[in-house]
Amino acid sequence: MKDVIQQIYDKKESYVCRSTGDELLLIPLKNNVADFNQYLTLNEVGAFIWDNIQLGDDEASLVAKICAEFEANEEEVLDDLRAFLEKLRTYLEIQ
Amino acid sequence: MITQEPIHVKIAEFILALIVPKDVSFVLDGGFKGFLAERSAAAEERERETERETERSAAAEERERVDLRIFCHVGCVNAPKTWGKEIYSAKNEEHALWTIYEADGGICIHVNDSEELTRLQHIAFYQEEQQAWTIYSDLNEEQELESLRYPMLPLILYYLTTKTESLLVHASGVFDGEHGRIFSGFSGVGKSTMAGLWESAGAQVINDDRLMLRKLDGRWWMFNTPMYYTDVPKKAPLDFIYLPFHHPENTYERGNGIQMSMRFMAHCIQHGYNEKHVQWHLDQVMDIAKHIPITRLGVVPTTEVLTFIKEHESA
Repeated sequence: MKDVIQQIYDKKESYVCRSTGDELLLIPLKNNVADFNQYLTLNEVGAFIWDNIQLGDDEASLVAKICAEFEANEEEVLDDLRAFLEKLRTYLEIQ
Repeated sequence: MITQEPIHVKIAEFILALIVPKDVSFVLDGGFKGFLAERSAAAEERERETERETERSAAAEERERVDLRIFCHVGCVNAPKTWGKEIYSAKNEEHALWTIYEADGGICIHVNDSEELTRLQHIAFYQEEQQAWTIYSDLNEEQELESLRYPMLPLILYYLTTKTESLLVHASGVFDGEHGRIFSGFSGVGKSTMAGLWESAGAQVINDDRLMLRKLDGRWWMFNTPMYYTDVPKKAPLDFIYLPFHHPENTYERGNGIQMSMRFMAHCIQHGYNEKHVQWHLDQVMDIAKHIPITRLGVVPTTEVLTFIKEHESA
């Protein structure tokens, strides 16, 4: 799982990010041009996770921060986090 | 040697001051004809004589407000070789229409002849902080200096949109005397068809292919820009944005803000990646989406679609 987080972190230069209220827009760069047809919107929790991945957090740290921020159960958070990271990995086209 | 009196070109209410050499014939093609804000030297002189200091004309005030200075020089060979590494290249298969390089205080663009891509036409330096371009151009076939020859002007206008509340967009725009509407999309979606339908119903076509959108005094406007054909400057309020597509029946779909903003943004002109520019343009699109409805429009290209649109706008 740590590898997935690292892979997502490594992809950050391939995306333009923009906050829109609580949400975060990710716009991919293709052939050195932003591709607005392939954008992804992250909700408040997704944006929180993305931001903290950019700060260098690992899985344990992410879980702790999400639990604290959103008053959630650790076990559920871990499952949801892993599912979210898998979806993000697919979207980011990480092999 | 350069002239003392610059040539002023007014596009989308931006004033571009062209400082050109005296000793060469300088030309702007026919598409610029209506956009020239400069009068003849004799007219200038007469105006100076009659102008009282406290009653300066609107034209004189306009001349003082220059948005961009463009220093025009002869010969790409005379350009200082001060550009750095390549940032972006707009390639058409193996040849580039233009290539952007790093340069001190800005960028340097090598622009090729659009009809002969292996021939260098301009070397242009853009100093962002000074809002100034310095363009070295080879003379054309008639030995004239044509510093804004395509695609130089669209590049200049594009960089204006990276510093001001404005956007260049692939769209047709019409004004029916009450509302301004744009129809945005790539080739083939029906931009010109929609413009033609509105024109046949008496509306003014601002342009049927490319528009500059600009926020002035708190509201968004659409403007035409010089094209390859002669036209006069046109301006209309921007009230509705449509993203048309061919469909068996007329349909009207207003989506959520981000979804429609991104669809619209996809039709805005961007010249290579620069995160600051993308963020800036996103801000402009978000602002537009906050004030102006963006709608996906399934279109059957008959005049009935005009009534269909008006009915939904007023619903």
